[in-house]
Amino acid sequence: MSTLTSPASENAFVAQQFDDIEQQREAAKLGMWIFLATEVLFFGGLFLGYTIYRFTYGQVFVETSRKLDVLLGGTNTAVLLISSLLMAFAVRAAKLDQRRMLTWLLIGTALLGCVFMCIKGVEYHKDYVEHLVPGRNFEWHGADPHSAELFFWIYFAMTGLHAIHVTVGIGVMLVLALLAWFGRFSHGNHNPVEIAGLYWHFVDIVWVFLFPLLYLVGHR
Amino acid sequence: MEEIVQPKVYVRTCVALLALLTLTWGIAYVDGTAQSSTQ
Repeated sequence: MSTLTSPASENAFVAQQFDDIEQQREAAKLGMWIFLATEVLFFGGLFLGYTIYRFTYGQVFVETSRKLDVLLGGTNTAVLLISSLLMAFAVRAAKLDQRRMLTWLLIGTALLGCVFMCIKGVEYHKDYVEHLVPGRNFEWHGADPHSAELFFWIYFAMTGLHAIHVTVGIGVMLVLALLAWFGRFSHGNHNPVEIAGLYWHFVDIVWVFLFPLLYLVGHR
Repeated sequence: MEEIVQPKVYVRTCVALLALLTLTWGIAYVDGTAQSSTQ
């Protein structure tokens, strides 16, 4: 590991309520961590609900889980992991003042987010065609259709809310890429990239939990 | 003073996670194939 000394011109980016850019950076990071803590509570409630129903309707959840496409889910996991790698490189590029590299890495992260959303769309379409979307159209020929429908309610709620977070992340990445292109993150002002990176990694981690819980629960 | 992590640390972490994913997916795939052949 090496270190980088902040240049004097970074003071131009310091808001008046902060002593220096380091203090501003710490405040921004703390704010993001608090936000992520609320997100953990939000998704935690959903995970808790899932866990309770998983134990209540164990066998039905195993059967319904087998209807999900493990290949598409696994591919999406790989896509998000690689996008997180690009994001980590983007934060590094921002710290090293590599403007062009930063822009392309942010665009790459956003593009992988779009790939994730496209694959999710293919999956949702497949579920719709197979009448697995809860509601009037839902069809289940196995045992206990009500519990099977409950699994798909949880599946669509959790993956849908996650997809909303990915969409927000894609938007943030594209805006940051535009700002990076105009040199807004130079001279030590890489705060926004760093906290956006925290958000993106969080979204990635949520999926890393969703994938085994929803897709692999039917496999032993 | 900002800490800059070497790129290989990121790459190794990502490769390790992808390897774990491949292993997990492989087990699920083999299990799925075994289940469909018994039905």
